Order: sequence, then C-alpha cells, then structure tokens
Amino acid sequence: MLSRHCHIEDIDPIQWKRLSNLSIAQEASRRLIVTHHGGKLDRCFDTVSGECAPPFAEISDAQGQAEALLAGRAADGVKSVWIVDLEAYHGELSAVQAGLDPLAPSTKQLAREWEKRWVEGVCAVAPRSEFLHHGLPWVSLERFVAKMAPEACVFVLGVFDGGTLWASLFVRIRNAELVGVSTSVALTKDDLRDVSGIESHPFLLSAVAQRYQHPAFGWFCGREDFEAWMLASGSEEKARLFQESLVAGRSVFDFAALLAPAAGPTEVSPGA
Amino acid sequence: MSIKVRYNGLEIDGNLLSLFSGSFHYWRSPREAWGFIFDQVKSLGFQVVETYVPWSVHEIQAGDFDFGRIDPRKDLDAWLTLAAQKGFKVLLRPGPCINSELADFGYPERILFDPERAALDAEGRPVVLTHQSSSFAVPSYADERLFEDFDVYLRALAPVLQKHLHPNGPVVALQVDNELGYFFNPEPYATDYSPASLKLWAHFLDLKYRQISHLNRAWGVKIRSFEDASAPRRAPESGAALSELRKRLDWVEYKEYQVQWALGRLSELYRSRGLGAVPLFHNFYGPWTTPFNVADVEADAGIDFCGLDAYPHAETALDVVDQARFLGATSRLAYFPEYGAGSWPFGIRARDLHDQECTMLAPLMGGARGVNFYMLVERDRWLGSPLDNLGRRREENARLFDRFNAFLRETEWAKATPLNQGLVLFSREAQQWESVYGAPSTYAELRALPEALLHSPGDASAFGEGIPGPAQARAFFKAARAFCAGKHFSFSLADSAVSTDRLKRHAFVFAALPEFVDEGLAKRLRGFVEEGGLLVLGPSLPSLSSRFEPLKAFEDLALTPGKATACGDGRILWLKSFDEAAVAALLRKSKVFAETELSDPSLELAAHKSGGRMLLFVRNPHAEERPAKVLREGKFVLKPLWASGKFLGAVEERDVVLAPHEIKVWEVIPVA
Repeated sequence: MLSRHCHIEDIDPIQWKRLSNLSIAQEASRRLIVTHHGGKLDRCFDTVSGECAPPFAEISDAQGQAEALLAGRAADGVKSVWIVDLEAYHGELSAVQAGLDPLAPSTKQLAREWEKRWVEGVCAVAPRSEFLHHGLPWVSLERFVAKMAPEACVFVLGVFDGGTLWASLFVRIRNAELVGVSTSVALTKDDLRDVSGIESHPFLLSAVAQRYQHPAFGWFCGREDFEAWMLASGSEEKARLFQESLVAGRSVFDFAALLAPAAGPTEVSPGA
Repeated sequence: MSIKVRYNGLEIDGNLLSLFSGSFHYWRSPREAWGFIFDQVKSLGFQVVETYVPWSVHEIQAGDFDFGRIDPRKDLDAWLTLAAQKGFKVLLRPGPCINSELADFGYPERILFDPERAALDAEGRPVVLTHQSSSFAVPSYADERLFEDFDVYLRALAPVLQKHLHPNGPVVALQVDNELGYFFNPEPYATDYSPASLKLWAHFLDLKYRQISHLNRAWGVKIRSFEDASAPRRAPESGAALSELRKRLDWVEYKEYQVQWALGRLSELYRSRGLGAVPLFHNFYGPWTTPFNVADVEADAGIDFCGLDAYPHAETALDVVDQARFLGATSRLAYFPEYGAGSWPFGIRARDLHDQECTMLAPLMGGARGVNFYMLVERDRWLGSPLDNLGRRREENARLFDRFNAFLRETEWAKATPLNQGLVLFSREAQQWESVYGAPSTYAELRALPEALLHSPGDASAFGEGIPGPAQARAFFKAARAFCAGKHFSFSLADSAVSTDRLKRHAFVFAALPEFVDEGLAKRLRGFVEEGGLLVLGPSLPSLSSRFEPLKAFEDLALTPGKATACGDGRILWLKSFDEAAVAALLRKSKVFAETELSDPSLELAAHKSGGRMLLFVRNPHAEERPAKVLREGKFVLKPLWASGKFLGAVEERDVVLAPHEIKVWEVIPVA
C-alpha cells in the first residue's frame, strides 16, 4: 500500500513527532517473551523489567499457554505475550524474508511476514491481532482504500486539541497506493485561517482538495480520541474506539467526496 | 597530495580548513533555487557543503548516465561550479551505497534484484532489508561484480569530478561508500554466507594462519585446505571447548576484515580513476565496536580518516560524547560525517527543536574536530532542517546554527584540545568474544525481539574455572567509565588499537581485558606504565595473546589482584571486578585528581583548552533542572559561552543551574 517511492515532504516536525511518539508508544507496550527450543524452556523476558523467572516448566501448548499467561498478567500492564522457539522462528523469518517481492509495497510484505509468524510451533502470540505497523492497521486500511478510493484522492487526518490543529496528515492515494505524505505545512496561512476545530473540517478538506486537485476525504477527531485509538493494541479495539467516537458525535468521518466527488464534503451523521 | 589530514581539519596548501559543514542534495532542490540555497547556507555560517552523488539517480540504464543532459537538476558540474563561485569547499559522497532514504539506497535496481549477488544469511537465503517503504536483497560486499559495475559509473563520473577536485575546484575530500557494515545488522551470524564471502573467508584464514596445520591445531580439526574451513553459523554451546570458541572468534574477526577489504577495494577504484588527489574518508553508522574497526580501516583500507554517524535525541546525547571520545583517541581526525539536523520520517521518534538544541554541542564535548550536519537543506523524506528545500529559513532552528558557528569562532575551536586525564579501554578481544554469543537474526527479529534476547552472556569455561567471561569484561568497562564520569575526570575511550603516543597523553588508563589480548597492546600498556603511567586492568590478567600463545608482557611482575604494584616509574593494579575504592586510593596516592569537579556526580563534565583558555562542558542527563556547585582550586568565574534558550546569561561563580538535558559551556577565568 505504501508506494516504494512515496514522496514525503512539507512535514511539520512538531506534528510528526506527536504522531511518531504515539506510534512508538504503541509498539513499546509491555510484553512478556518466553523463548524455548522444541518445548524446552530457555528464557523469559519482560520488556519493562528484563529477565524474569520462567512461568512454565515446559511448553506443551504454546498458544494456550500464551493466552493464559496474558490473562494472568494483564493486571500488571502486560499487553501481549509471545512464546517463541527462537531457532524455528529464525528459520521461518529467513524463508519469509527471502520470499519478499522487492517491487511490491513494503507494508504488504510486512503484513504477509507477520501472518507467517503464526506457524504452529514457531511463535504463539496473545492476543492474536491484525498486523499493526507504526500503530496503524494496514490490512484494514488497505481493504478500505482498495474498495472505496477512486483512482486519485487525498485522505486527510485532522486531530484537534480544542480549536488548534494538533496533528495532521495529507495522504495522497493513487491506484490504491500511498504516493505522497505531507502535513498542514503544505497549506498556506490563508488556507488554514478558518480551520479552528472539528466543525470546521469542511474548510480543511476543501483546502486540501484544492491544493492537490483531487477529491479529499478524512477523519477529524479530538486529541484524546486519537491518542486512545493509536495506543489500542489491536485492530478490533481500534475499530471499536473509532465507531464509538463517531456515534458519540466527538469525531467525523467525511467520505462524501469518494461517493460523489462533485458534491463536496458531507458529514457522517451518527446513527444515520 | 596538497591536502593533508590533521587532527583538527584538512590542511590545504598550508591553510587549515575546519570540517564543519552541512548537507545539500542538488538533485532534490529545484535548480533555480541552488544559488539562493548556497547563499542561505553561507548566512548560517558554513563554508563547506556536502552531497551524495547517487549512482541510481544518474544511471538511466547500465552504462548510460544523465549528468544534466536530460534532467537539469542532475547537473553536478554546474552545481560544483556554482559552489566554487559562492566560495564553498565541497565534500562529495559518490557511493556505491547512498541510502538517503532512497527506495533503492542508491544502487541501480538491477543490482538489488539479482539474487546471485545477494549476501546470504546463515540458512543460505538472501538477506533482505525492509527499509521504510521498500525492501531489497542486500548486495554482498565480497562480490567483485559489485565493484566492477560501480567502476563503470565511476569511470563516467570521474571526468566531472576531476574538473572540480582541489586545486582545480572546490572538492576537498571524497567519501568511499556509505555506512558499510552489513546494512545495520552487525550480528555475527546474520550474514554473509554467499559464495563470494566464503571465498574471501578462506583467503582471510590463509592470511591469518599461513599454514593449514596451524588452523587445524587451533580449531581441533583435520582439513586439507582453507577452502574446506566451514563458516560457523551459530554461537558455541555452553561449555564448548576452546577450539569451538576460536573458530567463532575467527569468524567475528573475518566480519571486520570483510569491511576493511571492501573499503580497500573501493578506495583502490577511486584512486585508479584519478580521484586520489584528495583525502578519502568513510563513515560507520554509529557503533565503534566490532565489526566496526576504525583503526584498521585507516591503517589498511586506503581510507585517510574514518568517522561515526549519529542522530541523537536530547536524552541520548551522551552516546555522541562517547563516540567523539573514542574518535579522538583513535582516528586521525575525530569527525562525524553525518550528524543529525532534523530526521528521517520513519521508524524513529522525530527529532525536534529541543533535541537539536540539546545535542548541538555533544560532539564537541567529546572532542570532535568536524561535524557534517545532515541535512542542512530539507528534501523528500526529511524533516526538521534549518532550511527548507527552497532554502527558506525555519527561523528558530536556523538560529541554532548561527549560534553554533559563532561558538566555533568565539572559542577558536580549531585550536582546541581535550584535557583528558584518563583513558578507558574496551579491548577489541573482549568485544569480539562477546559478539560470538549472538543469535542469527534477520531484520524482522531485530525489530520484533529485544536485543537482550538475541544474545547470551557467554561463558569462559573453555579457559578453566574462575576465569571471567565476556560479560564480566563488559561490566568492567562500564564500571570504569562510570567511575571517570562520576569523579569528573575528562577521559578518552579506546580499543586495542590505541597507540603508544595516545596512551602517553593520559595520566591513567583503565583497561577492560579478557583472558587473551593482542600482544602489541599488552606491550604498549606495559611501556605506558614503565614511563610513569597508572594502569588499572581487569577483570582478567591476560595469560594468552590473541593468537592463544602464552603472553609474557606482565608475567615477571607477579601481580596479585587488588594490590597495586610498581613497574618502572608507574603502577599497575589488577582487579577482578572494578573496585571504586581501590582505584580512588591508587589515584590519590599518585596525586592524580580531577581539576574540576561538580557537587552533583550525575552531571557529566569534559574540559578542553583552546588558545590558553579553559572551556568547561557540563551536561545534565536528567529530564528536570539540576543545580550544582563547580569545585576548583582558587578563585574563578565562569563566563557562559553556550546555553539553551536565547540568552547566555551573566558571568557566574560556583553555583550553576542546568535545564533538562542541557549542555552548557563556560570559559573558566581565574581571578586574582
């Protein structure tokens, strides 16, 4: 989905740092990793506290044991448990990596690589979830773009902290590939003059559509909702939080331009 | 060559050029903006610029290149001419490797998509780098075909460059390749098991052992030729015999050799194309431990100076200070070929203004004599530079660079030298031994699993009972370093290549040594002590050379652990683990004291002198403000030369305050 030559420019460092901080925080959530060799326990590692006492005598049902361990340690803030046969894992990843197609978008490759890790006896992870890369559910996003996006359009993310644009992304899409990324720095001060909160999102959409000469659609939300969404550890949880914020009227997903590009932006009304 | 490499820059026809520069990629800015951009770079205070010259950007197809014939932005000749007209000197980096967030890293795709040329992992499969938005099989740097193909490009590029090499033009140095060293996966068993690499491995073994019988004895095998020597693909089992360890130590040493060999081949190519009139340099991507061997690259690979790259955040600036400390004791010119000005967009936390400000002086604090800010001019896939890609100032950011260059002028940094009393040595043998216990790993594993899980601590059972292992050597080094920092000694860092001349500049040396060590190092350490130096070594008193023959350098001294022994005009103390009290007592008895201390031992200090002035660098590693008293003999005042924020502040006396993660610099002025 992410084009090989995706052009990235006009990036506001402060906005980008806010986004990348959230992405890194999501990826750095507390994990327990238990390594073994063919069922014989080797080490146990907590990404917060380091080496720890192995929780089992041996590995007999990796997925079951991972889920049980997660249930038992969730109260300590453990977000996921991995049980890995390191030798087999390495062999599996070596094969997957060698099979990558250099001309295909790397996010597709990474997603495929992710799925291949679930091979029986190699790596058990609880909870099982869709591939997240930099905290984003790429498979779901790719499905949406493939289904809904016209040949060329721009996705706009506008995250507001009260009346201030806290973070933004303008993602140019062509033939279901992300070909360009920028932020509000790509617009002029005049363009942004009327952008003062979620309700003003039509102005932002219009400015972006004008700037890139393509229909624009987007998600406009408050900082709290966005942070919760980014930090959610699974795609199902993200979907739930997304829907909840829409239904509660705290955010807007405006995709009218995708359905009828000439009609202009239209708000999604909760419950409609 | 009319350009000489000096410790503080390049001497060009008798005049010193300090290597403080910034990166500006000609092909990524509109050609009509070049002139304005150069003017803006000059207004920031720089007189040197740097750029890559990417092979994949100029190559249209194999053997056919565009140097402006089709795309005017690729007219390197015009850009270099303009640079000269504007009064700049230029550093060029033609590759073959570029990176620069290009999807192909600067290699033509036909090179990357050829599985026959790929570096292979321990399973015999191509090593694939998933990089930002692309993935490719990394080429093996043991494969001659890479150099043959690159030579075609170099042959086409050379006439353009020769026009502009000093004294004909502004180009004063060329970088050979870029961040060579297994494409960010330095784990020993990750790569390279390609046929070309295994052939080079056999050649390396031949050079090292000379006779197959010597290798057979070392490895406990019976093979007929070096070509039959299998390459180890896993760490030794716990309790493995010495012969198993030696085989893997040879592999780890080979990984260093391959890097040097490849750089040697490339520097040969550069010189064969008439590009040897200026110094050639290289840059490792950051680490200074195995397989990255700065000293050997400068000694054996035709590289005139080798630097380290760094992109620190406010809280990791100490790593840069240590890199500079190491370069100062090892390299001909302590230089950062890439030092963060902004950052790339993927995979790391973006560097913001606070990061930029808190890290601007970290290289200087450690003693660096040159820094190339990457990128000074923004471009595709970069953010946070002081100039955008049209040259317009990002005002707050740009002012930092105004101040930086003003600082260099005010302090006459070209004349500065560190006042390092101590040297902390982490022997290469200890590093190599530690490295032996890595797990084979693809990039996916490096991303997915904590580094601690990809290493085991290793064991020393092959040497007998009670012998410290590699983990103990690392612990000794860390404790020795922490002691120097906590007692506010200014200090250097080094490895086994440290020269006699550099040892002599220090009053004391703390050396983290394993059971086996380079015989030359042992002799140099002994010589250092005999001439009046203080040496604290441990955790082992080495009994073997790096060839595993008896080591006699310390035998006659009959050292016992914990007891300092006179040796010539100096003293040696062997400690099985670093004992702060014992070391402090040794230094006290020898009347070695830190000239300047701080009331807070957690604050970091480095002292330099420049033209008779004493410069004090202090760094606050904490996320909150910290006060401290500056403690020195006699009366003095502190004149601020660098601080966070817009104003330097008034002259201070003993009481200072540092903002979170701040580096502050004062001139210490004695008062009668």
